[in-house]
Amino acid sequence: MTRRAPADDLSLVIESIYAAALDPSAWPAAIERSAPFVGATNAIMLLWNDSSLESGVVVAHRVDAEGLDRWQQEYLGDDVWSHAGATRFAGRPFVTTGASLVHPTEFAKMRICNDLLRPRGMLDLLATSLRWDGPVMSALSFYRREIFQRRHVERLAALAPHLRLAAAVQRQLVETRGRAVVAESALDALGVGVLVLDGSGHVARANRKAEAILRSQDGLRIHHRRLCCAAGDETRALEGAITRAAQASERRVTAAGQALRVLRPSRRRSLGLIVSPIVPAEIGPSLLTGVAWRAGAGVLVTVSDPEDGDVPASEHLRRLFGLTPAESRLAAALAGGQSLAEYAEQSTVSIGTVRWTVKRILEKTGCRRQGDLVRLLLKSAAGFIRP
Amino acid sequence: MTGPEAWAAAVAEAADLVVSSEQWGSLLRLATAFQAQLHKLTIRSDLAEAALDAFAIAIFILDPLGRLVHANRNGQLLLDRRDGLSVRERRLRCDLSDEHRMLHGAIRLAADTSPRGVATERRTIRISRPSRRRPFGAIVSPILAPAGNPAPFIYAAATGAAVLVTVSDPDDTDAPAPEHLQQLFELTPAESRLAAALAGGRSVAEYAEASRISVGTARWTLKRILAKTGCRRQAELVRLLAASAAGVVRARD
Repeated sequence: MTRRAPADDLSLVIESIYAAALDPSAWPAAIERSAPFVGATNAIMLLWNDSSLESGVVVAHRVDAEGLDRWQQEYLGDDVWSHAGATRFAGRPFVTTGASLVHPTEFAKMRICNDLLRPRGMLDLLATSLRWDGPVMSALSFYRREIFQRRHVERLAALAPHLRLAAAVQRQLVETRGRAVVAESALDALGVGVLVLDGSGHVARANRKAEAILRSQDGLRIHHRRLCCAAGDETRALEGAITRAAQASERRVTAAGQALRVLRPSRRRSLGLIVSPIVPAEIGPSLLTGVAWRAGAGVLVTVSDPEDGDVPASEHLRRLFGLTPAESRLAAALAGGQSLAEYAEQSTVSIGTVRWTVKRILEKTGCRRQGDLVRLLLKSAAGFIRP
Repeated sequence: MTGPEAWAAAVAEAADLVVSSEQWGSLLRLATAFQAQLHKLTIRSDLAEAALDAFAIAIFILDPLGRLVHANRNGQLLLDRRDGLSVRERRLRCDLSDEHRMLHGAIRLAADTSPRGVATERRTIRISRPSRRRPFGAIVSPILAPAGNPAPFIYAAATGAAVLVTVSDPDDTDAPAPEHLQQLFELTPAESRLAAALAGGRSVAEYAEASRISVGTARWTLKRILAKTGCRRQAELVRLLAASAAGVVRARD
């Protein structure tokens, strides 16, 4: 029965908590191990946001969905344990029991006890803070029918630093991943194709426009994680440019990059590429780890398609330049490469009216010539991002 | 680089952990895996953020509470000019209070809607400048979490979505690098210089005067550029150049 000494139990529980630090989906298993270790039958791991007052249950161990739901809907506002704990431990990490927060005889008279917790066998609480210095806070609460004993508190006190470490490790990983996802999504918003290559020239990321260009399989493709062109000599030139940019990035030299054309088997106009080094700022030591790494090296490949028919959204142009709806429609058409005559014919307006409209647009935007206007529109935020 | 052992020792000391040899093994495994994962993710996010620096437009990333978390190179340069748009207490700030309210209304709207996965309409705002130059144009859009990536938004400083603000300066005279245009469109050096000038907003006459050639020569060069690029009009050429890779990246590093 007791093949393992208590110390080994602790080690096993710690092992499972560390596994959860690296993989959030392992939390239920870690809590399932922790609960009997501290003498508990049920547990809830909770995350909440002190500024938005939103909360979320990360793990519920042997607590039914209805109970959780009712607790969040009906009792979150007057959960006496939470209130007493928040007051007593404001900002300080804690390990505590329900009986030490609210006297058990008092608690036994309360509605939350009789209505919600008693039927579920959750009459005492044993809780520890995981992250307790806002705005996002988290805590782990254990429950059982009987009052928790001193030895249970001591056991949770032994686990608490490991739980907090796991929470901190996880938070840093999740936040760093979040930073990556957000910056990559910003690249997705650009109206031009963007490929991010790692220091060895492998494609690490293609934004949405680049994905569309690659999908069209017309000149540019990925082969064994590397960019290739339809023609062998072009592939060699591209590889050379990528290698040079990677070396510049390694040496942390910023450079304007090299331009290349890529012929398309469809005989449409060539794709235009600019290959330039990416030079991230040096990574400072992270708060949690004290670890500083060498900044990563990478290469940026910007791809444009001269045949791309994207035009800025006329609604955006209207607001950006204070145009009327008719003016913004014409502006969008000009930015899309149409001539005045073409626009007049297509929109069944007389060429005279169109000329007069363009004059007013030029006045409003402070442009002297039509080419000037086209430049202004395309370089605007509306021209830059994907419509 | 500090190895996993040093990290584990520092963590154990900071948390006042008394660890058995068995537990030390667990801590070391955690340290190794954590450092490897964090390293990979840090490089991934650094590369994506640094890639934004290449583009010839100001890009700002805000957290769900509207605080500035990243500005690309052009964004930083634009803020440094303090001409209508600045940062105070980590928030973008317009000089005019009306415009400021509109900007932050748009930011709140973008932050609000996206965690539910609803792509909202982008908002457009003009930002006046004390220098009396033409106003900046800003577009505010939500950054939607790609499918399968909800976690960053749950754990972020607040629930809600990140917000993207792109700002353009109509008076920016940035022109594409002639050497890029030369490569992209098979132009001669003389042709690429004229093409860059046109893409930078200058007229043929202005270019002729500045480079001390006759207008006739410049016109003839323009004709050859149009023929080579398959464009019929000057405005069409400007469009081609401005929308090309050379037109969207910053010309000087």
